[in-house]
Amino acid sequence: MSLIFKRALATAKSVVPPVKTVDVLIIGGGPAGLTLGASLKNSSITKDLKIELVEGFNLDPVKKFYDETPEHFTNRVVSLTPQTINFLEKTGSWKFIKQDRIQPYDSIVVTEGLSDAKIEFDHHSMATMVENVNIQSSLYQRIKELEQESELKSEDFGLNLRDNTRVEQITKDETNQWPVVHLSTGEQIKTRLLVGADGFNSPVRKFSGIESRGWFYNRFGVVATLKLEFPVFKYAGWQRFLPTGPIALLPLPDDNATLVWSQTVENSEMLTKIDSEIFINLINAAFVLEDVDMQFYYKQLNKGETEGLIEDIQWRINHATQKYSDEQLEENFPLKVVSIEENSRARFPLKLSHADSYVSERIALVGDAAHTTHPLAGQGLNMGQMDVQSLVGAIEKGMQRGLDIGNPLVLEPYWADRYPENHLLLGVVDKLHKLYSIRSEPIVALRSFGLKAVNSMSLLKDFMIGKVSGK
Amino acid sequence: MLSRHIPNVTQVSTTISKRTFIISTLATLTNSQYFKNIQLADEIEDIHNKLPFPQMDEFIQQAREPLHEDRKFPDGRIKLNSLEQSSIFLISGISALLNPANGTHINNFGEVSSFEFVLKNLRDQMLQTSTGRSILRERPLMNNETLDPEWLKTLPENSLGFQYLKFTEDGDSRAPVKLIQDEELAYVFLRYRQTHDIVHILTKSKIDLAGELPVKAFEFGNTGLPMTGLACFAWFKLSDKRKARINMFDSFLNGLQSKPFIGVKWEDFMEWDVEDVRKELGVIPQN
Repeated sequence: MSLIFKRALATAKSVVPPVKTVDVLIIGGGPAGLTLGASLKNSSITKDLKIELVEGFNLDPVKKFYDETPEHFTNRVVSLTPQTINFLEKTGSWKFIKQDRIQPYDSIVVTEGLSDAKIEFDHHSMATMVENVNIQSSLYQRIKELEQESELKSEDFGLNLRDNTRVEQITKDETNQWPVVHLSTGEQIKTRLLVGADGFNSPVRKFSGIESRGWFYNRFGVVATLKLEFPVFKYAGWQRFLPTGPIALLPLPDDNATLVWSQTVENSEMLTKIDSEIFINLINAAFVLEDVDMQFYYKQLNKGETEGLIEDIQWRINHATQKYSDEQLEENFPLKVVSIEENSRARFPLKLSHADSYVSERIALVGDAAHTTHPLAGQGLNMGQMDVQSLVGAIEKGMQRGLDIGNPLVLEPYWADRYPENHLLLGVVDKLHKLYSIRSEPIVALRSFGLKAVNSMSLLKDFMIGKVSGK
Repeated sequence: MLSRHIPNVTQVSTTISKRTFIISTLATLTNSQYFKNIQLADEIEDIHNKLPFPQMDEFIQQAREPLHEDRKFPDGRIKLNSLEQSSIFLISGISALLNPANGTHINNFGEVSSFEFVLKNLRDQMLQTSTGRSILRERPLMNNETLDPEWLKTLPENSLGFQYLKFTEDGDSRAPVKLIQDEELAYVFLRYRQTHDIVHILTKSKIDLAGELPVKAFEFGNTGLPMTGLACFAWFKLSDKRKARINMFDSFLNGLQSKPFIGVKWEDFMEWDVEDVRKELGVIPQN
């Protein structure tokens, strides 16, 4: 009997792989996770930390992007503020950005679907459109460069990147209570500090027991990569608040553009499925026509009736624009969309969420794991980058003071720094979404008056640009 | 009614002098309105042209001359500024009250009192259905060319087409729209005007005052045009006996619950039996 028992123990022992121990384990190889890895290695204070980065998906497109840049633009594009770019420059990754695939723009024109109110923000290079994969690739290249500069063997460099690896389970070490992450490869990693950069459904946040609060907007964001009728002369972002949700057309180099269209659940599904010719016409219509026209088109398309729809759209667009001169057209409407990149249409649910805390014992959350927002202000990724900047600062300070970097004493300044700012931005974006979902005429009149009033106050506008772009 | 007014020459001349008085009062009032407008700096030159006083002179002068071509839209509508619109609103409104038999005043008042938001509302009703949109797009006119009387004559007696022919034989009450500034909204109003005879047929109302009043109440419920609502006040001028016979509120409700007439393609209903048309649109005939 005792012999059998011993035998069983021996088998069990031989199956359990050795537990690797690291200083920082980052879950998630998105922009936030990669930026954290790169900037920790870039800092003279934290560069000796042993870091492990785990990503569930395949990072090959990211790794190959720099040398084998694809011809077409991808559909996940974000607007980076000067503040974020500044941070990426400090991290040393910005020089690896493919400059011919990014597009700075100097103004954003915001209109609405229920009145003729309009506001225009002008500021030289107020933001820059960059593909997500371009950011990731630049960070990956920077990590590779840092590894070469360190002249260490890759296993001694202390930043190990593994993709195609999922987190199966997170437990606590029995002796010192450090988090132990069980990977889909069967390996286990014990870490001094576990960072969740693992998105909205963050396993790290669930393990930590930090509650996240918020709501779904009952809207989806539809994205697509588009071609305009000719290359833009003046690069500008266009956004129109329709009662169903804002539509934004943002510039990419030459005649390319990217679309983010918030829509009801039903309409968003329809938009990803309809014939691309109708889709293009509908985008052009959305920037010009009135709500009653759009509602008619949605109704017809949801019923599957497409006959004569394109002619109808073009008739209404011509009718609505014929009273404008060419100059006025240029001022008030974006260039016409003429085609769409194949298979670039996709949709994702929009929600607001904010974690009660970003830190707990040996845990930190950054980016979408801590907060998600409606894309109408283009702030989601920028908020995550600022989180990383702040977290790196907190870890540097902790190390200089000789503290354990997993200690809440080290991490809490990061939360204290970022939470109020993120909360304010989430709140403002949430209220904007709600304000512009209202159809009631007195409210429309009030908000249009407000928008026009703000538009005439250039000092206030400069202040707002400053707030959003971080200048 | 006509005979009471036309021979009275002195009265006509006093109304004319009164009109100029109204215009100058209006000019002062509107003047104060104009200065409230904030204009962009680069439009300063335009402001000079937009000052009401030089324009007033021009307006008065032009009122006495035939209209110059550039005061007209290509389709014959007259270009009006807001001052002119409000003058016509007051003058034609008062004249229509004093002299209800004069069709010009009533027509003019109907047009200038159909404010943009009212007509936009009607147009939006049309834009909500495929039929309505096709009417707006093709802009069919209901006249002798499009609805051939020879063809209407061949239709059965109970058909909408035949009834329509009977109604329009006496005379053409469908004057062109002259004072509405937006061309699409002008068509919407014209379409409303051309629908008027059909309302008579469907509600079984005659063209005397006792028949016209319920039609106006019906139209007010159906279209919400201010002029039709104001016209309903003529009910108070009726004798008690007639008041008791005409139920304006029922007609109003009838118009309210029927399908919006503005989006109906009457051309397609001409061969239908009138009863079927009523059922289709939810109209309850009066009397």
